[in-house]
Amino acid sequence: MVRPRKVFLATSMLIHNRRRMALSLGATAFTVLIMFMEMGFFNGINDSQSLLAGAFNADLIMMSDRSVHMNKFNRFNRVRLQQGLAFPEVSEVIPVYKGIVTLENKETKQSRLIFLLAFPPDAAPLDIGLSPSVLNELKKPGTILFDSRSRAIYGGMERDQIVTVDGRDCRVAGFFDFGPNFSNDGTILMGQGTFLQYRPPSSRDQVSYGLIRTKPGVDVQSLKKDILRNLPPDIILLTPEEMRQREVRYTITAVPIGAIFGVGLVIGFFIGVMICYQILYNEIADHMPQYATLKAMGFSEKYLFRLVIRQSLLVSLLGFVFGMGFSFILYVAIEASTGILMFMTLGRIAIILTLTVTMCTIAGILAVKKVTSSDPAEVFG
Amino acid sequence: MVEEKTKTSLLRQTNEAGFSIRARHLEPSVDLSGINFSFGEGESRKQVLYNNELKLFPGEIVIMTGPSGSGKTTLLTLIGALRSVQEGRMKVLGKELKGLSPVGLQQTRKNIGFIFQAHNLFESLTAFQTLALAMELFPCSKDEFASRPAEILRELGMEARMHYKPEKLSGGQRQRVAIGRALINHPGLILADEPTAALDKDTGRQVVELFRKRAREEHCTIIIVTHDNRIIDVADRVVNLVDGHIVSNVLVADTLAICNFLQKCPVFSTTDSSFLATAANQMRLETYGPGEVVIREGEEGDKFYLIRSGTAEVCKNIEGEDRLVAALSAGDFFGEVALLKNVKRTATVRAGEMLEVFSLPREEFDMLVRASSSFEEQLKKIYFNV
Repeated sequence: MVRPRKVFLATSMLIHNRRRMALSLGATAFTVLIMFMEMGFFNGINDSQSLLAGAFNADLIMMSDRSVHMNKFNRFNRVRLQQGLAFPEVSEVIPVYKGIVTLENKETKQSRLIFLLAFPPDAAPLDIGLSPSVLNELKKPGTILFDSRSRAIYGGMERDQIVTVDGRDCRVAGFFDFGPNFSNDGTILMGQGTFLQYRPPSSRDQVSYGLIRTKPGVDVQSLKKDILRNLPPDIILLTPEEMRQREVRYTITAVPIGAIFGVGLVIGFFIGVMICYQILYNEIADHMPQYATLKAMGFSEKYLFRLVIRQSLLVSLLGFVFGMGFSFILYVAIEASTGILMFMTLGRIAIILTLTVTMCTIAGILAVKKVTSSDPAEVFG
Repeated sequence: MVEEKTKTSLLRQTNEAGFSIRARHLEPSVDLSGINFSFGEGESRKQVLYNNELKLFPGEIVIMTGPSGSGKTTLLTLIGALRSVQEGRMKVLGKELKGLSPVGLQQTRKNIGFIFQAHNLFESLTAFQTLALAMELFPCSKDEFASRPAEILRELGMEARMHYKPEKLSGGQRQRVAIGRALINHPGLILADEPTAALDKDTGRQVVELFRKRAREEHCTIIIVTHDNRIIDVADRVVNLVDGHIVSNVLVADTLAICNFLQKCPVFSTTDSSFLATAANQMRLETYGPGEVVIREGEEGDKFYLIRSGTAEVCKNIEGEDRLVAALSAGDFFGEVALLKNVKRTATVRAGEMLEVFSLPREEFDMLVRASSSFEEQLKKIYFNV
């Protein structure tokens, strides 16, 4: 019979007591779940909030220097777009208008605020899976596209239904998939023509964003510097990725909601440390005579330390797998019910895994004190 | 003539058991002296060991006895490097333990096999794995790792239960696993606390035989704390501890020899052998160089002596001149007259060559005499001609 070279004591101790193993793994998995949820909400807010920024189909986005985050509605004169277009590296500059308008719920007759984006339909300014045929609909005056993932407060929407936007009748020409965030309950898209038609003439040359597309092979960062140097300082330029990151930074630092879940993540971590410590401590307390015996036999404290750490790592890794499984199910459920984006990336999984392993290791280090305190002389008693 | 022959054969027997152990070139495996030990601090300080002295040699099987609370366990934990020595000298397997760091103590313990009353087996490990785990203390080859535990478990009669976990083992089987764990690394010293308590007669014998084999073949010193009379016969030495003092430290072979010596003497020929054993157990070994005086005429008598080996000369001061009145050799005794008659020493006894004597202090001698009226009467009959 082939037998392993080493005795896997940590593993065998863990597996031996099935009930305790279930409890340990359950508790660890629960902690992992808490951390995943907190991070899920944390990221969900950021992801949802910055979704639009990342979705702009452009190389650089021009905006007012006062527009420090997505929820600011400062505009700038469209003459800047023309000035941008004057640069030989720039092939195209697309105006984008945004605003908050009211949309009446046909069932309740209640007007609710909704986020609006308007642009020249041909320019395809958003990477959100809009087909050209749907975009084409926006060319017809008085049409809108409705985000089918908007919250239910706007009531049921059907194609070609007439809705009231800011007191004017519009036709729902189609749907798209985007999703709400903490600032906005829903989104509608509008053609530039329809939008400007509704605007007072005085503000028609004011735009929210200018999407700059460059010719192939242009260094975007040097172009950005070039434009900023030559244009008046009332505008700023960001790439979509820079804008997305700025949005995340803003949500984390300036808006308490992001911070709340950030704190929740940290608290979840410490709860995890305590739970793991408690589990390991009990496990060790039950095996004190055995540990004392190992010590009496001449096993070093380092050996005992490794034994405890090995156990805690085993618990953490197995607990992590279960916790991640449950979290995934909850993510799907929450995203389906709230519309907040909840998804795992390899990076996020790695963060929680690292936190879990760290958590169990800290717990192990705390609990190992109990082992090293065992008196080998007590085995004769 | 016949008596002479018995005496020499007895002498050889004692020398074989005793001499090999006491030979000067042999380093004791356990050598402690002046060992005091107390628990607690200040007001609650309680001393449990008082100025103990003990030398144990490689290959000896030592049985330690004594009532509970006598300090046996404490002494055992000190010898086992499980506690730090407070006061005194403690050399174990050639290493001084006094002042040794915890890591030093731990390193020492690697070479000591422990058998505890509570076996403290990991309930998740099979008998085989329990032994294999102990092997991780030392580097060993893959083959050894697979074969040695099986070998020892076989010797312990645990072949059929090798891959069972403790919950599937009886108390005796668990005890044998714990014994196997202590033996697996072939330690130079084994400390066992009631190793046969949970074993039946046959398996107890089996374990004892294994101990004996280890002691003989590997010169392992084995200290057994036990009250099990069935295994007392394997002991080379019996150490008795009472109230923190080693009250007797007897080489069993010597005790047997003393009993035999005493029984050969007409005075003790009818004495109950249990009294002789008691007397023998109380005797301590003393050695004297050639010409050294053991007792001097005219001094207070405080001990009774029996010669173990060597020769002695008895001199009496007759008319101001020392005269040799007798020569004594192994098996002869002296010093009893002063004790029985309560007078000063009536003669001087001097070692002829290297002399080893067993001595019995006066109190114990008196107690023994009082305990046995027939013994007393017989002695009196001889010495007082009553």
